[in-house]
Amino acid sequence: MSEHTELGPGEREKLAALRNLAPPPALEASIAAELRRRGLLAPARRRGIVALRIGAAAAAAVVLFAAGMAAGRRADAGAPASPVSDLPEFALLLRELPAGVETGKREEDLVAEYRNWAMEVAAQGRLELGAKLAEAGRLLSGSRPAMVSESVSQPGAGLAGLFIVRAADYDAAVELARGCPHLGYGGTIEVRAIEGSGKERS
Amino acid sequence: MEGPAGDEAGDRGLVEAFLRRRTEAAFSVLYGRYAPRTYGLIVRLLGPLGGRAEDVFQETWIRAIEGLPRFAWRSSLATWLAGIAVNCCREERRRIGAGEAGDFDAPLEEVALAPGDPLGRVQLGRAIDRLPAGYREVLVLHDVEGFTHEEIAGQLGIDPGTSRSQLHRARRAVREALLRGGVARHE
Repeated sequence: MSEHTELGPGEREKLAALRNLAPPPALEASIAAELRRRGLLAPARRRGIVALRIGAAAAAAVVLFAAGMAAGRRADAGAPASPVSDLPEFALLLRELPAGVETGKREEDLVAEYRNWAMEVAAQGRLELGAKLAEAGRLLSGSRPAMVSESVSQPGAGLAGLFIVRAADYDAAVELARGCPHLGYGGTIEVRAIEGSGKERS
Repeated sequence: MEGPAGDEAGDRGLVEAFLRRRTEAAFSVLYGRYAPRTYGLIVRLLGPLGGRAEDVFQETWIRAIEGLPRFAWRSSLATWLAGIAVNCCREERRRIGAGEAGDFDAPLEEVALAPGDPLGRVQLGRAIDRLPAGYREVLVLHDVEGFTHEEIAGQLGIDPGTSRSQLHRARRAVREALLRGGVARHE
């Protein structure tokens, strides 16, 4: 047997291909439950797993992961400040895709696409919230007593979901939003500063 | 070989985001980034004890989250996580009584080849699974996961020179096992 045991190119590729193996899906929840039991994870308050439906006709849900806290809470007093966490917050309002839009992609590929974008934003410490809005809700209008009716999100018009991100200013928030795959499927994203969240500049 | 260290700035952001509020959402992002890598590593390290992978994987993540506040970034997050996985796998082997990690001299079994590429992925995986635990650790950490000998030395508690020499022996052992299996099939 040769003393030279360096890997050939084919061997190197085959060995590297053994890397990464998807764990059983149920393990994540099991681990999270154990972490929560040990006090290593905050009590469940609000779902961090959000879904965004693509297109009026799509039946599949796209799963995104938010790395921040629920809207309405602000930084813990004892938490160490970091430059990103001092930046103002902007809401990215995702509207439903126009009717009849087909992504042409498998659900798992869409999931991966949205997830990868959310993870990139989260990795920068900029993602505070990601949330899907239900397709039907309640609409209040008029003076008290307000009329209450059912509202149903319309293709191309209704709000499908939102993200809250941190950015230095509108230009930076817009640049962040450009990377969202929602735009690639013909969707619309409205960027709005959250007043009082920082020194936002238009 | 390209090292396994990920984007440190990105990892720091994820870790800081998690430690800031410890939300399940923040954990989920961190988990999503490293779960496949960690699980694959544990399955490979356990070899024939792969049926224990889920329990060891859970223990690895619990220890990692426990230790995150004290992680000083002297290595990459990937290297640190792998070190925890190595220790958990070793403890599992000891608990089951499956032999010590440094069992480099145990006899190798041949690995029967399947038709087709003699170094196919399945056969390669089996050959690695049948290595003595010590050989398997070094080969998996270096050739599969891409860690350097210096990183492996820290993870296994050996010096880099030992890691290099054991890697060469491990590679030779894998090739011999595959060749013997191929010869046996064709006889």
